[in-house]
Amino acid sequence: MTATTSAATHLRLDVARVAAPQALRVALVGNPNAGKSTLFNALTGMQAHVANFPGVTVEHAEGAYVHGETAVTLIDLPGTYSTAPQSPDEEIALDVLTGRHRGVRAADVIVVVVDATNLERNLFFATQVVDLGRPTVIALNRMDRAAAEGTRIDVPELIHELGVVVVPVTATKGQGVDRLRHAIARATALPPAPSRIGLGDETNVERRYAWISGIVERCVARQPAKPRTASDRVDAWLLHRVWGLAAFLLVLLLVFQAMFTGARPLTDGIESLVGLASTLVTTALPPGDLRSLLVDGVLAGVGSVLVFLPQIAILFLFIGLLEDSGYMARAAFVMDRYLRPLGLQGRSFIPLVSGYACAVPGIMATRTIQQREERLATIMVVPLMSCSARLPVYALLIAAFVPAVTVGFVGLQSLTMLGMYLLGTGAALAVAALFRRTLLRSDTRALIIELPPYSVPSARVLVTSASQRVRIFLRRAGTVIFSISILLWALAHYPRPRAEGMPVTAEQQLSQSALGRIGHAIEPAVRPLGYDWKIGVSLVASFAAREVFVSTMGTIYSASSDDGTTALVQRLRAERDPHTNRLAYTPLIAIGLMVFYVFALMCTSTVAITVRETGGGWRGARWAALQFGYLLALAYGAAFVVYRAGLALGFGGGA
Amino acid sequence: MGLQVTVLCIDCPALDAARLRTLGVYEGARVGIVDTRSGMLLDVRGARLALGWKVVHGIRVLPA
Amino acid sequence: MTAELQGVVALTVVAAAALYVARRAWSSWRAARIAASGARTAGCGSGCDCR
Repeated sequence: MTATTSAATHLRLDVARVAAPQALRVALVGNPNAGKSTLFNALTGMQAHVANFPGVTVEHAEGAYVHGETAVTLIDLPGTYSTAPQSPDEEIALDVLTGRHRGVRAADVIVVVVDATNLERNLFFATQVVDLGRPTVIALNRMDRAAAEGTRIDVPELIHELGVVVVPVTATKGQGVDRLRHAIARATALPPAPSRIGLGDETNVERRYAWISGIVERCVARQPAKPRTASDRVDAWLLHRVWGLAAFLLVLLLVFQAMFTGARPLTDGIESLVGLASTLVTTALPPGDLRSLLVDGVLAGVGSVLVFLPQIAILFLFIGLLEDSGYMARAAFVMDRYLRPLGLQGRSFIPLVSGYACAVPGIMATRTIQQREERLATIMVVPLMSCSARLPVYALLIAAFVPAVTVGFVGLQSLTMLGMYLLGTGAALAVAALFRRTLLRSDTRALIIELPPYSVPSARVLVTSASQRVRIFLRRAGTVIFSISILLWALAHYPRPRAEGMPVTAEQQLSQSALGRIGHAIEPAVRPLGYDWKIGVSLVASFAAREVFVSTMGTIYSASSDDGTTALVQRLRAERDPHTNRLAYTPLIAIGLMVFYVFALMCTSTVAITVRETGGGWRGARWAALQFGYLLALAYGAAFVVYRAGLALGFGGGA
Repeated sequence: MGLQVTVLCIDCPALDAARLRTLGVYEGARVGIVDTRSGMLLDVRGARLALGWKVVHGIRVLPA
Repeated sequence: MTAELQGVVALTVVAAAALYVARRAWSSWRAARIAASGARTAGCGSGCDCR
């Protein structure tokens, strides 16, 4: 190991050591909303990755850090209210914690995150954990907020009462984190806390709360202030069944408006950059395959997806904002009332909304739904919530075919976008209701949800998590889409047409390439929907990942244009059928195509996670197959109806 | 509303009742009622708990 | 760079891309098989934003 300069590199080398079994295994537990994730990030300095417990399908975040001589592996477990588990999430967390889980070594040290602003309920779980008799450290989080509320906690007295080390921290500011690391490292050397009288029984709720009340009385000096009256007044509106819903729809509309207009300058900037790169390559290389590969394949393909980065980033920012501010819980409560007639409950709401960003974490979020049938129904419909990968498809087609006019004070383009999202959402609810009345009947569980206090999310945290997701998006663009663009370019350029003395247009060359032949073969299947073979090919290619539609179209149109510099949007508008010379794409076809994308499941990651979360093995595969099948049928059927109905109404089709 | 009440009786399915107890809503507990227009919004030991209608019907309280 | 050389380089790049995609597809398939048998899971696959 050579001497290194940066501390980060040094840490990375030591992290390699951490994988060794001598590392101290530390589990991080606590109530939901206690700030576990923030503390986890603060402790591990973002050096975390997602891992799995062997034998189960629950994921957890695992990270590592080094404190002095000790290498520590930190495991972040799902939020838990009690050691009597009440959901699949909690069960796994507790099994791992107590070492009951086969194949996993129990944690050496347990860190319980306790929210200082919500002391009694947090202590309920914390004291249960202490009673497990393992080395435990309590991280008393949100000390800053407690101080702001006028709450003073006598920490030494608390330590005395509980019998374990208590470290005050403020995870969002990184305060107390080093002391916590110190306490963790020394925890195994301390004697275990004495078990309290009569509290060994974890179901003895009343007595435990009574004991905790006593502790709090002795250790906490609280201002008799009435916190949260302002927040309660706001809640009175936001939880209202009519106004709350209206508020939510308004929020959605604002988000979409921001995504379209707010992102415009950045989008234009990226587009210019890509154009600049193309020009550079075109002037640097003489005409030839490599130049074509770079300009028509890579730059056209990847560039057409990168252009949507600003909009996706804005979406991620907003979702993070809604979650961290505490609004999501309120929205879930409001929606509960409307979801019940469908057979769902408010808890299905958060997975569904997560699906607006990406179906995969949405499906994973269904673990908080205790009931099997409710959970399955939610998983089946999450892909209908238009995920961020559909955004480039919508945005491209809307930009090309929906005029940029305003209706009242809202742009028609944003309205169309909103319309697509509403279509997907409406379909999700309808299909879920259908599932719940047929395949997946059962009674619904009641909704009991904690509303975290409203807070202004730290801009730094928001930007960090949004940029993490953006980085993942970029990585996907840089790898999968990059390689697929190259392959598509190859399919569009080989085999070359035989030179018969006549100059060959780019269009003809494309038509005779491998890609072209596949497209022509598929054409009969997509013609009823109004599509030509070029759309057909892009459609099929995008079953691996939706954004591929845009990059495929980018490649195809670069390949078939003789000048190669016109923007994709303009090319789409100008495209004519070679036989009839009518416009190949009209707004009607574009809408129909978008409708197809609203419904179709085109994401291998989603299929994989559905298999896993519905039970794995053949059972899981059956559910995933059902999901894929019904979505495809819905997509084809809906696109067909939209196109044919539109034609009948005289909206005008294409070739 | 801001009323302080004592929970008198909980008549819900066992699993729901267990969850309520864990969160601090059990017979004899003192909770504050914040709002009842849309379901029930409770102040339980400083935290806000929102309950759906189904659960609300099964809880009887007595003004403290 | 002459046209012939460009052609060769382009083909090499294409071959590399094909190998990469094939390898990704293979490891996804294998991960799905392992997940299906309940032994272990390989995470989310390409490019989604798991939290």
